[in-house]
Amino acid sequence: MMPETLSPEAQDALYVYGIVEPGDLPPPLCHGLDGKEVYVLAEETLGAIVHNCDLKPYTSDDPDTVEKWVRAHNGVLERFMEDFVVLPCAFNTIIRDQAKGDPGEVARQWLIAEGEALRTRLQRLAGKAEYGVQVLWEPSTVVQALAGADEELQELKARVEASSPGMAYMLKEKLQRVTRSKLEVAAAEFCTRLMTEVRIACDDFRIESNKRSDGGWVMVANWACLVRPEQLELLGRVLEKPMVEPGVKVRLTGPWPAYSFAT
Amino acid sequence: MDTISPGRATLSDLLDRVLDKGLVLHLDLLICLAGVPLLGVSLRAALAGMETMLDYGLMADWDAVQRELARVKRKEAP
Repeated sequence: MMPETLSPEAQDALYVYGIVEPGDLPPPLCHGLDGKEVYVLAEETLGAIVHNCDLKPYTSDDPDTVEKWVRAHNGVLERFMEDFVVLPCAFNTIIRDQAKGDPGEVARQWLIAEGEALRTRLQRLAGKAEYGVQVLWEPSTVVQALAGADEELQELKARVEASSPGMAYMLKEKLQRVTRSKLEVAAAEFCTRLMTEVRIACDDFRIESNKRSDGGWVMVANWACLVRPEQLELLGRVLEKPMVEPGVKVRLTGPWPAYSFAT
Repeated sequence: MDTISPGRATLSDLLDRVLDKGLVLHLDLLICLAGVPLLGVSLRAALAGMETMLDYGLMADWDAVQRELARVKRKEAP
């Protein structure tokens, strides 16, 4: 059993970055949110990466401050990932002890109670990292390619051009509706095909909700992949293929702590 | 295929992972005020002013928590 690292001056609560199995390796010296000293609170074979904090969550109206905090949270986990398997916690995970005012004791009891489940999760993540995959379309470009190859759209377009202004207006509406619908079907088919290949190139896989993007691009797929180092090259090759198509962009971010695979 | 490292990733990339994912501790361990988990409230407050985050869809469930907290605060006010 690893001796508990001496904690800096005790405070009301503990901010938890994540869980590790410290073993005999010394934890890295690093600083977290607002430069707080980060340490590992160990119990049995597990350790919680923490800093002492006040009994209040991290909140600010200043977006820059929030960004610094969020990057610091991730930075601490990245630093630990260099030497340890890390089970990441979400931002603002804070432990307190309602009864005795010793949050460290609560954390230790929790590590004991949840030990088996935490160790199983850590084993599942060993040697792997999370990568984010986002597929983005530029609708204006994709629509052009789609219209060039679709008979129904070509026919509708020809009818719009040949019609009187009133009829052309109605047909234009229909053309837009049909185009939108065909674009959605095309995106779904495109993503399903790519997803099949991506799944083969990773150990585990999660479908995330699509987020808003800038610059005329639309996110059509947002996936989290749990990847072993030897799988990364294949994943990269799979993701490069659709990039040759006009109006398609693929982003690969990582390696991240395995936030999407922690539970 | 070039990989975008977390250091070069956008804030949206980070928030996508750091805010609503990760290990969930047993609720008893989280800061609570009158049964309202401050975790959710704090995330909302932490992002106040970031309008894009509302579009981001990350805070859909927090309105109720926010209202509940306001109600509790009103009740507790002298």
